Amino acid sequence: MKHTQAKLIFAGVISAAAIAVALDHNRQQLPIAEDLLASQQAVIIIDEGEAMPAENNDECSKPVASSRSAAPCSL
Amino acid sequence: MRSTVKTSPVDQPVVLMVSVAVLVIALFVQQSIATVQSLTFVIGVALGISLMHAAFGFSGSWRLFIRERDARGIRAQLLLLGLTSLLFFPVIGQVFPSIQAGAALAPVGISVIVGAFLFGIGMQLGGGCGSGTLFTMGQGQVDMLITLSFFIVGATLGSAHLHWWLALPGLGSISVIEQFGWWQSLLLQLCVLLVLYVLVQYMDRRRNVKQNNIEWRAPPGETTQRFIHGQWPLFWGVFALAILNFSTLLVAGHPWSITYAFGLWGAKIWAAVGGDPGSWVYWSSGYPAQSLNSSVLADTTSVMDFGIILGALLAAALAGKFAPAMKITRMRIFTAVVGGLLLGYGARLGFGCNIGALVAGISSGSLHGWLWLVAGFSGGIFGVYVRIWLKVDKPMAA
Repeated sequence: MKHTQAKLIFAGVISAAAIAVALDHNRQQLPIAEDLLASQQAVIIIDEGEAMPAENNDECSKPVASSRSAAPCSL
Repeated sequence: MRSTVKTSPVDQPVVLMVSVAVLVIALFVQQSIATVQSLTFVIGVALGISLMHAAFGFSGSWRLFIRERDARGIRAQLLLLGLTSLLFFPVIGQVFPSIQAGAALAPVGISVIVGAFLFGIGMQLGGGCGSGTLFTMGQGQVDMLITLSFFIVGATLGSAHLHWWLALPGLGSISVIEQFGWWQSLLLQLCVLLVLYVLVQYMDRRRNVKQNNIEWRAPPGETTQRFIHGQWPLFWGVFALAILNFSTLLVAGHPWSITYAFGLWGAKIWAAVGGDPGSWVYWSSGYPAQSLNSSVLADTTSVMDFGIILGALLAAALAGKFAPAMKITRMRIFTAVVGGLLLGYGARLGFGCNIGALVAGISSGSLHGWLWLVAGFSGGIFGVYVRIWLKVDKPMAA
């Protein structure tokens, strides 16, 4: 593949990605900044034997008071 | 002194376009989302530049060590882990209560073992790890576009299956900081890293007559040129990545991660073409559900990934290395597809890639990071042999 061909392909992909991001951004409701950052810091401890978060509305959906945490669901 | 750097013409139009794009995007994100999000985007750009200019890859250096016992890359990675741990442990250990930052904790279990092993194989077939895929794709390597595409597919599939894997035996999340205290566990971890450093260096010297040294600084008179146009000494890359990862921790409140975004992108694409990922267990609650139903620019990992790609693109243009001519064989397409799928699926099961699980996990004091390292490197060894079997590489010397 020649240098020019590679450039064109890459430019096309980047353009398509930019359009997709723009469409997604315009379609989705924007969360409040503080809520967004807080939720990304929610702790998710999934221990053996526990039901998955969605099944009993537990860890993935819980906010956490402590900031000493991260979400493995968002790693 | 004669310059040792072989210079290529700077791709000025690309440099200009990317610089403008970075500025516009940073301002747009700052206006429409938050200043913090804009800062993480800029950090992502800096990461992309650092990765590209230092050629800081995990896959290639693992393969070099497995095949030839050349330990330079692995030693640099161990230095990165040590330096990042030094920065992270006091913060995560609450030495500075005013700093709100969380560790990259994840369960220790079969999911991590299988995921990391698959990821390790994928690294060798796909041609890159998480960060490596992004920066080589940002450089304009067309084959890595294929790897990234199937990385996204694999991550999305992984998110569909994760609940099944998590039901298998495991120990839950284990933080050595919480177990032993921050400075005690930091001391222990640094000792372990030192032992590994000495071990791989010994293996290198035993096998190779010519000593493989890490480049610590640029030759006299080349510092500025190398800084701008690339071919950074490896230690510059170590230092930059550690500082930028720490910056991410301070700004975003969590360590640098990469592959969550791929699953998110895949789920959004699936939703856009009529699928219903919101009905999957993984995407039905908590942060995953929120991010699926929000703008992709509201997701820190996605924004940082965009930054990395643009940063690598900028660095490649400054180095005159953007969009290199290359021959893409059918075998390369095959390995990119299979490798990408393994990378994505493995990253989801393993709670991250070399950056999100290995570097962030270990530097956060999460035991799953060490488990990831062992399983991932084992997968890497297997992947090297698969490459030989596929005749991508020659057999190793006896």
